[in-house]
Amino acid sequence: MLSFLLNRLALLLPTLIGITFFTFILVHLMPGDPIEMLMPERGIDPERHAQLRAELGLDQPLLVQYVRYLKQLAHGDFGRSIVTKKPVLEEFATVFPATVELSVAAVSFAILLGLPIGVFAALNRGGLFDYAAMSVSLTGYSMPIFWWGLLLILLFSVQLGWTPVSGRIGIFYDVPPITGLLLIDTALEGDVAAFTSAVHHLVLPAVVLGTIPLATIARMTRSAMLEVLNTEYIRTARAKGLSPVRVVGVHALRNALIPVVTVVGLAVGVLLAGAILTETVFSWPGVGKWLVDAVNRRDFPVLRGGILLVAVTVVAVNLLVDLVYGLLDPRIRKAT
Amino acid sequence: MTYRRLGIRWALLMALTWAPFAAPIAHAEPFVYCSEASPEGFNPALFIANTTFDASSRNVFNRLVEFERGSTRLRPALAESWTISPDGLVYTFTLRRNVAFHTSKSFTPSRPMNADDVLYTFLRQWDPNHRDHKLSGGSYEYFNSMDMPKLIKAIEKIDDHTVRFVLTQPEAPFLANLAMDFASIQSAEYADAMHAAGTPEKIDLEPIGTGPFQLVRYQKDSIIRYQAHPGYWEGKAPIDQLIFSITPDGSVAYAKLKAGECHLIPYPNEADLDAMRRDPALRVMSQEGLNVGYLAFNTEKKPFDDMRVRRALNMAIDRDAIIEAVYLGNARRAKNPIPPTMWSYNDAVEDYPYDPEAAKAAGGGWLPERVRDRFMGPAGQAPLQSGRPADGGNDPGRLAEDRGEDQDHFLRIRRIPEADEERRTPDDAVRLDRRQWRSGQLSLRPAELRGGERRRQPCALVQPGVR
Repeated sequence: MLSFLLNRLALLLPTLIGITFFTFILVHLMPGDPIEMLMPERGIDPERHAQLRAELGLDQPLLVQYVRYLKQLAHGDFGRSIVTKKPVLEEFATVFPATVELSVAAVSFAILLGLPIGVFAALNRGGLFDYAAMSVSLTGYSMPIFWWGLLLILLFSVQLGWTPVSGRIGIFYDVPPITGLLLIDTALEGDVAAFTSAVHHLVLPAVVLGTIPLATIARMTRSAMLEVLNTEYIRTARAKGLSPVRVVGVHALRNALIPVVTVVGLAVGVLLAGAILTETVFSWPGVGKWLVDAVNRRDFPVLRGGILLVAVTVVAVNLLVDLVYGLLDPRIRKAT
Repeated sequence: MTYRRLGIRWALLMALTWAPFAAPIAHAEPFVYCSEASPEGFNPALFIANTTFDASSRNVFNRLVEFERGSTRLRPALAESWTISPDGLVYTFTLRRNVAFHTSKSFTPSRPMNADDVLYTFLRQWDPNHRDHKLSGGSYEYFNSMDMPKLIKAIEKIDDHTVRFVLTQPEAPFLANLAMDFASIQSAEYADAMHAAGTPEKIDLEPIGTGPFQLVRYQKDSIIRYQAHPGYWEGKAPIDQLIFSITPDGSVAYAKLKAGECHLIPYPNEADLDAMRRDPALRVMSQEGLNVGYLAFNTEKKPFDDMRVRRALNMAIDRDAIIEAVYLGNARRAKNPIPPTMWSYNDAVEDYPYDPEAAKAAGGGWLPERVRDRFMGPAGQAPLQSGRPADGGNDPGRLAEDRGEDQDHFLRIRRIPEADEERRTPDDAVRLDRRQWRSGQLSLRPAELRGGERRRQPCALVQPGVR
C-alpha cells in the first residue's frame, strides 16, 4: 500500500508543474489588460500605464514572468490580487469553505439518491421504474445548470416560498466564521435557528449542483450493477440460499461500487465547474464566483493562483479516489 | 468642466418593494439592498468601481463638498464654506465643526474631524514620501486620472478648521473633483492608532469615516453589514441597519425582490421591467443616466474626413429601432455628447432625422450598399448595446464583434481594448469607433484632448437609462 501511495504522489509533481504552466499561459492568452480594469473612465496617461505594468511585472517577457511565478510558488507565495491587493491564498481561504460545503452537500445528495435509484433500476431492468429513472436521469444530465437553478428558484422560492432565493444564511444571522463551513459554525455556536437557516439556504443550490452527478451516478450504478448481477459468483451466492438483500447489498454492490467511486472522483471536477454557475445563480460566495469576478477584472494573480488551487484540489480528490479504489479492490494495490 | 459619476445606481433604473413604504420600517428591521457586485475594498481612494463607491464612500464617508442627490450641483459637506482667490489658484475651505468619526472595536476617536484629517486624506495620495502612500498597494488611479499630482502645488493647514489648496494653474472643475469619491475624508487619528497597534492595513479594511453608516462586517462576496452612525453630523439615518446582499444576477435579484429578501435592487434586467411595472407590490424608479453611447469617426481618414459622409451616416442609422431592440425602450435619442442632466447641455443643437433617402443624397453617392445594410439592417444587430454593468454588458463592441468581418475588409469591425488605444498610432486604420462613456467624467478642455480623442467627433448617440 505504501509503494502504491508513493507511486501516486510521485506522479503528482509533473502534473502540478503542468497545471502551473497551462494556467499561466491560459490566463495570459486571455484578451484584455488588467491595467485597463484599474483605470477610471478618464483613463491614465501612458507613463503611468507603463509604470503600473512594470510594477506588476507585466512588462517582462512571458517566460521570465513564468519563471518568476514558479519561484514565488516554491516559496508558497501565490501572489496578491491586483484589485483587492490581498494575498491570493488568503482570499482563497475565505471563499473555499463555501464551495466545499456546497460541493459536499451536492455530492451527498447525488450519492444518497443516485445509488438506490441505480440499484433499483438494475433490479427492475426493463421495468417501468428503470425506464422512468433512466429517462429522468438523462434529462438531468443534459440540464443547463443556470436555467435549472432559476427554474427551481421561481418555483420553490418565489411561488411556494419554501426556500430562500439565494445566499448562504438569513441576513439576520451574523455568524462569526470559525471553520468557514456555516453548518459547522452555526452548530458550534449552538444557534439552532441559524443552523436551520443555513440548511434551508443550502438545499436548492445543492440540488442544482448535484443534479448532473446524480444522473451520472444513477446511470453508472445501474450499468455496473447489471454487469455484476450477471456474474458467476452472484449466481453462486443465490444458489447458496443467501437472502436477496444480502446478495445485492453486500456481494453485488461492493463490486459495483468500484466504477461508481471513480465517477464520483471525476465528478469533483465537474462539480467545481458547475459550482461557477451555481454560485452565480445563488449568490453563493464561493470559489466559482470569486474566479468569475477575477476574469471580469482581469485579475491575473487571482486567476493563476485560484485555478491552480482548484486544480490541486481536484488532483488531491482524485488521489484520494485512487486510494479508496485500492481499498475496494485489492488487485489494484497489488498491481502497482 | 468635469462631471462626476453621479450616484448612478440611485439615479439609474431601480426597483423596490412597496413594503417598507406601506408600513414604516421598524427600527430593528434592516433595510436590504441587493447590490450587483462585490466591492474591491473599502477605501474609495484606492479603487475605481461604482460598486466599491456604493459600499464605501457614499455611506461610510463624506467629502469636503458633495453633489446634491440626483444632480451635479455642489453643496457644502465637511467644508462649511470656501473661498476661491481671484486668480483661481487658491481654494480655502472652512471646515465644519463637531463632525464625529465612527467608533469601532479597535478605535475610539478622541476628537472631531479637523484639518489634519483633510491633510492626511490628500497627502497620502499626493505625496510619494507620505508614510501611508504605499499602504495597501498604494495605487490612486482616480486621483492620478484627475491630474491632481500635477495640479496641486501645496495643501496647507491654516488652523484646525481651515485648509488651503494651492494649484499650479486655474482649474474650473477642481471643486467638483473634490466632491468625487476618491476625495472621501479619512481619519488621521485612526491611521496613527493603527500604525501604533502594528496593523496599518486595517485603515483600508475596516474603514472609519464620518458618513451616515459605519461598516460592521463584510462577508466576502456575500453580505455587507452597516449600522447607523449615531453621531452623524446631518442627524442619525432613519434606518438602523443597512445590509448589502450581493446578488450579481439580475434575474435572481428580481426573484429576491419578489420574495421580500431585498427591498431595493439596482440595474434590473431590461426584459423584466414591464413585469415589474405591472406588479402593484413593486415600484420602478428611473432617472436619466449619466451616460451616452455613440459612434466616433476618425475624421483624419477616408471616407470620414468628408463631412457629407459623416452626415449621411448620421441620417442612415435608425436610432429609435436600436433603442427599442437593444435597450428595450429604456433609452432615448441623444443629440449631444453629454446628457441633459448636465448644465452645459445644449438643447439648441438640432438632431439628425432618420432619413435613408436623404442619407443617400447627402453622402454624395458614397454610402455603399454594404455599409448601409450594416447600419440600416435589423436593429437588433446594430452595433450598440447595453446591460447590467456587473455583467460587463456595456463591453464596447461585443455585439459588433459578433457580426464578423466584411469580406473586402472595407468595414472591419473589431474590438480594441481601451488600453491599446493609448498605443494607437495616427496611422492606425481605425475609422469608425463605437464608444460609450458612462456615468463618468467627460473633460472638454481642449488642452486635455489627446491626439486620439481630437480625431473623434461624436455622432449617432443613444442615451440609455431613460424612459
